Amino acid sequence: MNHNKRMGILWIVLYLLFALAPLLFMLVGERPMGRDFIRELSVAFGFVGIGVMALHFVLTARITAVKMPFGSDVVYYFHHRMAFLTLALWLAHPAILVIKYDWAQGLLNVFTAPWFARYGVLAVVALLLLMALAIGRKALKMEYILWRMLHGALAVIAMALVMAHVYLVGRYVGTPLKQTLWLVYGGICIALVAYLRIYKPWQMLQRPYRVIEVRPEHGNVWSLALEPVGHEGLRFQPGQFAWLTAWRSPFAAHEHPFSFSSSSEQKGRIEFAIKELGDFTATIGQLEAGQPVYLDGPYGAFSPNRYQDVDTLVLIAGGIGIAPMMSILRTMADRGDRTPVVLLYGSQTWEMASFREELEELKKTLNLKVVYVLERPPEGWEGETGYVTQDVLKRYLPAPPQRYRVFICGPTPMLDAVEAALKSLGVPEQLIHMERFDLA
Amino acid sequence: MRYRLANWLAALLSAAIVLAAVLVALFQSGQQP
Repeated sequence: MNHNKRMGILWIVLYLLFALAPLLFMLVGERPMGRDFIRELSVAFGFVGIGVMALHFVLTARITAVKMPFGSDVVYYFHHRMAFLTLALWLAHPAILVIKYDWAQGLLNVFTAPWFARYGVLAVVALLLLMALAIGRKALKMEYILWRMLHGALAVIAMALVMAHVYLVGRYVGTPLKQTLWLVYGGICIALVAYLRIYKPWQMLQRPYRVIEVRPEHGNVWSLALEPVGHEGLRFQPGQFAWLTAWRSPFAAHEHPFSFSSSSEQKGRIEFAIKELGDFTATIGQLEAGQPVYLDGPYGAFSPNRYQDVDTLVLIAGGIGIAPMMSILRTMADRGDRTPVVLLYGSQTWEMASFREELEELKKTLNLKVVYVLERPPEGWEGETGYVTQDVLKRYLPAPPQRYRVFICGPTPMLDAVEAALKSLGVPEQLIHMERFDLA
Repeated sequence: MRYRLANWLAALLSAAIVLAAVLVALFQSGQQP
C-alpha cells in the first residue's frame, strides 16, 4: 500500500472519530439520567450534527496533508455531499422533538422561547440560509467572492450559535471534564479558521510574487507570468493549481483558483492561463508588470506525474481546460519526454482555440498528436466537429494492448459526457482522471 | 472513479454516523431510573 493510500485511510478514520467525538463526550464521565429513546435520539442527532459540521472547517481549511491523498476537487465534492447529512441532522434534532412533544413547539418561536432555544433555532436558520445560497448561487447570479464571504461567515455564525445552544441547555456539558473536552473541540474549529484566514494569508504575505508579463492569447485568455520576490517560489506538478490573490492583501480573502499553465521544470517563473469569465478574471488584463500578487498552493491530484505506468497519455481539454494540459505538455518538452500524447481539444471555434501556434511548435519536440474538435467549424474545415463524443474518442484512443491514462479538464457537462463515453468504450474507471473547476 | 469513491464514502460514513447516534440514544435511554 503506498503512502497516499495509507494517509487516505488514516484521514477517513480520523474523520469518523472527530464526527463522533461529541457523542463520546456525552458518554464520558458523569452522565445525566436517561430519558425516552426518541428524546435521546434527538439529542444524539444534534450532537453528531455538530461533529459533522465541525468537520467542514477541516475539509475546507486547505490543509495540504489532508488534500494530497484524495485531490482538492474530491475533498470539496465530499464537503458538498456531507453538507446534506449535516443539514439533515440539524433539522432532525428539533423536528423529532416538535413531532413527539407538544411542549417543544413553543421552543420554535424565537420571540418567546428561552434563550437556549432561540440560539438553536437561529443556528438552524443560519445553516439553512448557507445551504440555500450554496445551491442557488449561480441561479441568483451572486458574485463568487461575496458568496464565499457569506458562506464562511454563516458557517462560523451557525457554529457559534449552536455552541451557545449546547452550553445553555447544559444537560450534557455539566461536568468539568465535558466542558474541557468541548473547549478543546471548539478550540480546534477556531484554530482551523485562524489557520486559513490568518496564518495562511500571513504566510502568503511573506512570500509575494510579482507580475512579469500579461500576454493575450486566443479565446479571451490571458497568460499571466509571475516571479517570486525574495524567495525561491513554489514547486508544483503539471496539472496542479493554486489560489491567486491580486489587487488586494491576502487577508482580504479575495482569492481564486487557477491551473498552472507553465512547465514545472522552469524555476522562478510561474504562468497561469486565465479566461475572462467573471468579475475577477476580467481584471487580469489590467494587471501591470511589477504589481504584487500572492499565491497559495500548489493543490490538486490531477497530474500524470503521479502515474508512471503509461505507454500513451490521452489529454482531453474543453475551453480553458487547456491550461493544465499546456503545463503537462510544456513540462514534457522541458524534460525531453517522448511518451506519445494524444490531445483532444474541444473549442467553440478555431479562433477561440488558445495556444494553437504553440501546440504546433510542441509537435516538433514531443510525440504529440493534436485533434481539434470544433463546435462551429470554419468553412472548409476537414477536422472533427461538434463535441468530444464516443465516435470521436473511438477514432483516437490508443488500441489495446497499449496502456494509457486519460486526463480530462473542462466544464462539468463536458466532463460528465466524456466520462460516460469513455466508460461505454470500456475504458476502466481507474484510468480516467478529471479536474472539475467547480470548487465552490 | 475518485468521485464515485467519494460518493460511496459519503454514504458509508453517513450511515455509520447515524447508526452511532441511534446506538448512543439506545444506550442512554436504557439508563432511566
